[in-house]
Amino acid sequence: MSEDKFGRNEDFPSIVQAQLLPQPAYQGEFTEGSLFTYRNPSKLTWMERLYLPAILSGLKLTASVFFGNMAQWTIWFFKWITGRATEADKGATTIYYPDVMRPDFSPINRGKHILTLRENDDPQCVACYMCATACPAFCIHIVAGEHPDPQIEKYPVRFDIEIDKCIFCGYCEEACPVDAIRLTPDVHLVDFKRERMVYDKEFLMSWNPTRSQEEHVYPGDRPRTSD
Amino acid sequence: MDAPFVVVAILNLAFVLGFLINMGGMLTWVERKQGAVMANRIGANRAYIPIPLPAKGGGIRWYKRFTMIGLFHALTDGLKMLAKEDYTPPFVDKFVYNIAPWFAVVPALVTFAVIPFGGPFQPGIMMSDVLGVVGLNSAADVIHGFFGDTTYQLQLANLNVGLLFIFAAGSTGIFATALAGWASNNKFSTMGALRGASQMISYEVFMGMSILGLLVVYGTVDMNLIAQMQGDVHFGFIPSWGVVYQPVMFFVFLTALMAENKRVPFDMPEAESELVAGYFTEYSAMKMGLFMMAEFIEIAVISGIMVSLFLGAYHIPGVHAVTDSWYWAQHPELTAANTFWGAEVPHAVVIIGRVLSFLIKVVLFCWLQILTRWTLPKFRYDQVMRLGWKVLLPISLVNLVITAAVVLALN
Ligand code: SF4
Ligand code: SF4
Repeated sequence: MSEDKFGRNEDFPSIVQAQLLPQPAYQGEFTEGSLFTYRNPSKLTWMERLYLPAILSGLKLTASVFFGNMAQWTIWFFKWITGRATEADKGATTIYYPDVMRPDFSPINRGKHILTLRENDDPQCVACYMCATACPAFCIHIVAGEHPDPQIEKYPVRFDIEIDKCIFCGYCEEACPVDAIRLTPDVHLVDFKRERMVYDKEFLMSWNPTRSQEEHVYPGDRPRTSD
Repeated sequence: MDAPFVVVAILNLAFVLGFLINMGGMLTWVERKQGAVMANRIGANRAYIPIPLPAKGGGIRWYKRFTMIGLFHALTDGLKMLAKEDYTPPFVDKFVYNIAPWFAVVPALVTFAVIPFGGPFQPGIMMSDVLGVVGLNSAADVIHGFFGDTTYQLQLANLNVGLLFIFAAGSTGIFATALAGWASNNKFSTMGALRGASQMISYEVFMGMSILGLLVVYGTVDMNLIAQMQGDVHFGFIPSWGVVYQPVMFFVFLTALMAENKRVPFDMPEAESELVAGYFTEYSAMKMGLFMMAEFIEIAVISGIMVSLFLGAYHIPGVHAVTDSWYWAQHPELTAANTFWGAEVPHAVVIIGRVLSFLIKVVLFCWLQILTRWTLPKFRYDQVMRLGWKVLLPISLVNLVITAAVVLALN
């Protein structure tokens, strides 16, 4: 090993030197004069270089996709006017997201939290702080209050989840002793304001699906009360 | 310039303008929706007109699913462009900058003026046919009295240099690219303008050469006459359409026209992936909208040119109107009549059928162009040059020589 006056290893050539070294064999053809520019050899036959046959075969492919899908849409239309159309009948692999969820969207996907309810629409939660303790992101904030029913003892006066900090690990739902907090598959947790990404008790309890459909609220879409 | 002529001209103008502007709007929707169907997607479907419905618990519920399979997107696009701020950057050449969009949209509109979309017709007889069916015989008499039995053209301007006019007007469109790019005082725009100019010298030459073969066959540049000459039938079943005489030039000329329209695969002047928006980068609001509109109108215009030159214009094979002077001059043994494969039909049926046939052909051609746009990748700069000068120009020249030899031998 030898070093030059700048202390560089001369066995390891500089970039300028490396360009002058013989290059590894490349299947393509090298342009004379410069080692680093080469051209891919043209492997097109004479017929392919005419463009037109290749273009026509490409058009044939896309047109066949077009007509296949249009036939599928026609079938969908006739099923639709008789009210028997399903998502699978459509001539498209995409869906009307977020109006429609993918049929293969996992029902056990961990998404937006809900607080389960008692018979009288009170929260099931007994404000034991187990979930807040288990939460690795420290994003559950509970203020406990005394419940009038001595059997229940405590209830959450406030129950806030900072959903933008949550990592959807599901520890809270594992930790809960009374099955009061659950994670639903909804992942549409978007908003234009950061303040609204703190989900309060009322919102966590307003998960009744029929209610939100009536108001045409997308799943997980927070009602825009204030701006 | 008698009164009936002016009335026919105004109706023609209304039809052509309405057709082109509506096609321009519709094609923005077709482009999105067809591209979506070709790619297994659903496509534009969000623009809706809210409809108030009574809600269950009293009050009003807004129904938001009235989307008409996305048709309102064309409407919202237009509204958006009209409502946006029309910002003129301080560094542009004001006069040229403002006039450039008109160089884009006017050629696109005027080119259609010489395209015959229904051939010669007798409005008096046609209208009295239609009104007679409805039972308005007195109105039919009035209109017949007004128009008489005179023959008029379903064509805006019956120029005897029609094809040359198409070339002249169509080539003016390149001024829009050059002026807009230069006046914008922006590197991307200037690059777009340069590319537009270099693309122009690639396609304009073989464009002219490719159509010469057809001119040798027809022996005229009068669009009206060219259209009439395609109304015959050879050997009883082959329609004498341009595509039968010049099948290769059909594709070559279509390539040239698509290159003139500057859409994918020839969209180097715009090149969203490289030049932001190319020559109209600095334009906003409706000025930019005019460039877009010109592009979409041009699709319909190209289809009109292709149909009237190569696909028999408005003709349905075997259908002849009493007004087809060229056809009846070719067949002196026949008496002039409105015929459908020999059977006599009312004049109105023939003319309306012809206009519909023209429209259907144009729509099919628009479909083909949009199919091409969503299928092919963009050509590179030098590839267009090579394609134009080394492939298509020699093909056109060889075709011209062969055609001339064959025509000379047959005469
Ligand atoms: S899912 Fe995990 S991170 Fe989210 S609130 Fe529950 S414990 Fe915390
Ligand atoms: S663990 Fe369950 S009961 Fe305890 S505070 Fe959390 S949600 Fe409420």
